[in-house]
Amino acid sequence: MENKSTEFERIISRRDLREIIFGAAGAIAFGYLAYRSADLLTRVSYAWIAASFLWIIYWLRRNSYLHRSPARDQSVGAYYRALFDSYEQQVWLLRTAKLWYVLPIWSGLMLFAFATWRVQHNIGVLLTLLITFNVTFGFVWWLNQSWGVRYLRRKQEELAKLGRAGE
Amino acid sequence: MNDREEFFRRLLTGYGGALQRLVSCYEADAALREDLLQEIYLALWQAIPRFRGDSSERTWLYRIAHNTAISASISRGRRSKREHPIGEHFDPPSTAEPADRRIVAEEERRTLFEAIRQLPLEDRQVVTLHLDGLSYAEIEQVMDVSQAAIATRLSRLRRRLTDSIGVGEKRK
Repeated sequence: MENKSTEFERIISRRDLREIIFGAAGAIAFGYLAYRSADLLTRVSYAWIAASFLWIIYWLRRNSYLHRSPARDQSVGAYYRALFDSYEQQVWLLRTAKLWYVLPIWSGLMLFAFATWRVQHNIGVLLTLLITFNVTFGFVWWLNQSWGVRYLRRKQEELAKLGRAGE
Repeated sequence: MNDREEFFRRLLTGYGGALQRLVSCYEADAALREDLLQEIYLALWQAIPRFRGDSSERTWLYRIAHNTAISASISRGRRSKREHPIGEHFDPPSTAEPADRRIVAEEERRTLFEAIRQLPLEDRQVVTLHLDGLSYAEIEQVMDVSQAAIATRLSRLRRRLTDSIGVGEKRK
């Protein structure tokens, strides 16, 4: 009973948990690959990606605290403003995802693609890696920037409409 | 029974009727009203450990109830637009009253709640709190709006509600 929360809180909590698990798994896997890698540039790229995953966990834990539902025993005016702020905070997180989420991992993967090409001298592999990484991260960028922000803006609008209902 | 459960039961006994009226001002559909009521009970249960008595029990309860209703309204936002009220249900009027008077009383109550639901959120909250007998000072504590603003708003709302109920009556 006590674990029940609103739809918005559930979505944000699930997202944070998913990112943290994904980040931890990524950091361990790429950390291990960096440890095992013989080529220096490849090792640097793996280490860079592992560090990016750790950075994402840190950033989410530091900045997503506002997803916690505002206390309901505060005044209605204060609660209304706190709700608005929590949506605003999530919009900001999604808008800046290109910098704290996409850019660190993407740059590590670009370095990895270059390191692979330097070792194998295979242009086909390089192109495949570049296309795969860019399409995947382009999609993640779009998901955050467009779909995610639109969803939150709609929720914010619904909140604002509530105040104007019937006018 | 521990202190928390006892306090919770006391809240439900003391304010059950008020909470029923409150949800009627947010939701027209009986099933949605029941859902909202359950959510308010849950929010109250969760908030009990944090209750330190800084405000009165009554203002504390109304804050939680209205804030929960705001959250629930946003969550249901898009769903509610697709759903239409199946039927209205209000507290059964006293059976001691003659049947014709009971029907008239219920009809008046239905019209009043309908008119209140058409108001903007803050106005709806002020009216609900006022109808439940909270003083201006208590409404100020619940809403974070000055007493002068509450007085002005209530006087405007009285006129607006009288007009809208009057229009509704004429239509019939």
